[in-house]
Amino acid sequence: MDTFVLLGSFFALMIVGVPVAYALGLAALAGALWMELPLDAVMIQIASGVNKFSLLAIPFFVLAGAIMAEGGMSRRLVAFAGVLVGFIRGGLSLVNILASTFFGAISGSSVADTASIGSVLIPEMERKGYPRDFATAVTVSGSVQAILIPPSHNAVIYSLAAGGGVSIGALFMAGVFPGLLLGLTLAILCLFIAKKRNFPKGEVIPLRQALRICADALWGLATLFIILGGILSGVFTATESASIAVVWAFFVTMFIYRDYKWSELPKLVHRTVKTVSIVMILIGFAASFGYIMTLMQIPLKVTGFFAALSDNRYVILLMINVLLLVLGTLMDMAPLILILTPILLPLVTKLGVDPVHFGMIMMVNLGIGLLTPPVGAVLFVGSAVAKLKIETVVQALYPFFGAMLLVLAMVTYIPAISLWLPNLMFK
Amino acid sequence: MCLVIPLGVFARYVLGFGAQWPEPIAILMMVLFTFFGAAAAYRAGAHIAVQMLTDRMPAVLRRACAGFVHLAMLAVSVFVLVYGFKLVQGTMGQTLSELPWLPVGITYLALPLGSLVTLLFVLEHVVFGSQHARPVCTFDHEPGVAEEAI
Amino acid sequence: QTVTLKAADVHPAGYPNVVAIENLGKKLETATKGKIKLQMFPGGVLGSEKEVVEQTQVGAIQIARISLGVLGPVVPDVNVFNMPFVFRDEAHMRKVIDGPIGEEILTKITNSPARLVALGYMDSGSRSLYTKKPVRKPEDLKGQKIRMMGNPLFVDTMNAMGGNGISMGHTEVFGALQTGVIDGAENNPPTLYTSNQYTTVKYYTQTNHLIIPEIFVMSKVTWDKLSKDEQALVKKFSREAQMEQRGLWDKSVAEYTQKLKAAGIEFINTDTKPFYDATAPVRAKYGAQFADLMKRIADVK
Ligand code: NA
Ligand code: NA
Repeated sequence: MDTFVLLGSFFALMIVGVPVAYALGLAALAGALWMELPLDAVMIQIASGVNKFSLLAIPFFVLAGAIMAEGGMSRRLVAFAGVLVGFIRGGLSLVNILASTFFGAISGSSVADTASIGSVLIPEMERKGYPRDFATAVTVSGSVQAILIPPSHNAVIYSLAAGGGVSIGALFMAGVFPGLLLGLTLAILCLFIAKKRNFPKGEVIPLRQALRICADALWGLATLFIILGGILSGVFTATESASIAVVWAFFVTMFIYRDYKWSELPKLVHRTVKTVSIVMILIGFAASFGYIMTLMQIPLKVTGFFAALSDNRYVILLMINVLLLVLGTLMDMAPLILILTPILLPLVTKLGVDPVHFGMIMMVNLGIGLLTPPVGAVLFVGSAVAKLKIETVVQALYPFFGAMLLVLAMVTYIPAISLWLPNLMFK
Repeated sequence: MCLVIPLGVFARYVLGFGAQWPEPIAILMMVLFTFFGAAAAYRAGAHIAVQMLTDRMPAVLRRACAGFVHLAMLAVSVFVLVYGFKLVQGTMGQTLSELPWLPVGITYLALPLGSLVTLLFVLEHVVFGSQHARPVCTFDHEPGVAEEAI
Repeated sequence: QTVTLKAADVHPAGYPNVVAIENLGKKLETATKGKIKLQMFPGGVLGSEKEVVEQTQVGAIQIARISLGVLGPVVPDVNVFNMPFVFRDEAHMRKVIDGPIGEEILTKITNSPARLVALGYMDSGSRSLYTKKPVRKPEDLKGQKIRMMGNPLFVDTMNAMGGNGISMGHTEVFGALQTGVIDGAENNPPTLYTSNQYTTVKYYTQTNHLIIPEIFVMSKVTWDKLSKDEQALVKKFSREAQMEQRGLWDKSVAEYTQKLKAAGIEFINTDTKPFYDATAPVRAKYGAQFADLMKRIADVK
């Protein structure tokens, strides 16, 4: 009954259109009233939920990514990717995917990736003879790399939802290979489709020009080295490295590239504050929801439920993946991480799954959810940028979904893809 | 906020001492941005919400849902306003261990105040209708580039 | 009508403190014929200690095992336990908290505006240094960055002992040790082992510079709802829990010391006198307000 009051009121509120963050808060209140808890308890959790040092990494990473993306970085990354793979058959689709790989190294936002790379490359690809729906499908599926390749504020959110016991540095390192694997799998799919549908080749760029493009892009890609280098060498904490990345992104955009107007900055900051506050308020209310959930011992009940179904790790992981995929079609990534991690993590750690590995399973899985209807932020943005109907894009996405599910299966059942690098660095 | 933390790093590595104040100050600013930003995001209709069901409803039902959403938003805002102030009052006597001059209550003040603003925006929405299309909110909704959400 | 007491601890299930409180609950349940039950939430699932204290004050949590530090702002006397080398050794500490001084402080907490009823103490052992390089005397600490708990007093203590005190959260310590942000930290053997931090250091120098007991409290809201008899039962079983935890704690220290040694950690038994002398200014600076209390503690033989 406890569970029904809490989850039932949450779903009811969400379905009628109450913003997810506030629905979480209200459901927590309903749960507290039901359990005859003082309402102050809910308030304390909301307040302490947003009062955490590690959370500071989120605004910093979002801001650094936004400065880089809007300040001409994405254009340079596209050019850089063009130098490397543009000349192959189907080259522009590879350029698109590789540009997303690079973009992922400066930003953690798939939506920003789709918006900025899509607006450069979808028209360009169409001009060179690629169908627009294909170009859009490549863009949106490639953008999921941004979540996996560090920096990733979703990894920070996961670390937080896991109770702070999972280090952000380890999660960042764990994301490198799943991200690259996704990029590679999509690239192979594109090569295959390009051959079948006879997509055009690009030209080889002259060496001099190529070198200039590379040098130009490296300024931005240095962000990744600042972030990872800082964390790995122990010079800064994750939060500090994120703040340094902001300073660096600002420096590169304003003083090296110098093609971003100072007058645009307030808008960019305004937009970032709004984006961040949407996530942060969600974190605050999710903290109160999670607290009530714990008091009701829902995680224990869920663990018991799954344990009754099977005690095989692989079966349980399969079931969790299906559950996440279904929920991922309906809900956004951050709320799902915040709500489900406290429930599922105790279950999988009991079965011997490493929390870092489980984080990667969640990232890949919910990353796919960003592309699936009815609710998929990246799908919406991709369709809007391409000016295509969502249904059209979804149809073009089918082979890409196949590729992504394959990656999900590999990441789920081969822990080493996620864990090899962090273990190498940290053990 | 974006300068406070690098300053702390600078102090530690260049000046050679670990300063205590950058952390709490940066967190304070973050909480401030969160609750006032959330109010602004409400006004701009930018919060993550599930609309697939309401979008398919007949107009009457959709209006009823919208009314319910307003009620829900009012309830949450009033709750955070009232209990937030209670929390602020209750923690005014304590100070942060890193910054002995700063009462804990101050660090929570943004919660009730930000909710007050949200409350006013909800009332504005009820009385004057949606403000999503106001110019002040739309300047960042350039066509083609969507909200850089999570 | 039955009452379920929700108890919170940041320590994991099976930890001496958790087990002692669980047993307290079982005794209560038997004695009240099931009227009062206890539900344990270990491992910090209900949040950090700060959150847990706040939740206990408003009555959302009924029993919490917390460190004394959180109560410092409302009951300044508890800060006396934070003074470096205020106790000669653990036996001395136990004598003090079992006796009139301990009772006096519990009463002060209960009568303070903290809205908590202090039930009893728990042993959290003594904190000693663990480092990558061996430390035998204050000079060995020169230039070493040592993590201390976030309180200027502790940072100053480390600075006085010869090192560089750095404050950071407990969860960040492991990463900081791995990456070399810090050269060492200080805690008791069980924590050193269970936090996995032992994999990053080589030496454990038994300075015993801090011996800080912990307490467990009940929400005043809950306490006031209990009958006089029930309150008496809670008090009685709390005292028993205090004694039971101690035995479990000693066993756990012995066990983890063994494990640490097996894992190659070298235990250094050092003369603590130079460290004691070096920290005299810290006690003078922070302890002036409870000089009398410190004297009374020292007089407990
Ligand atoms: Na990224
Ligand atoms: Na979706």
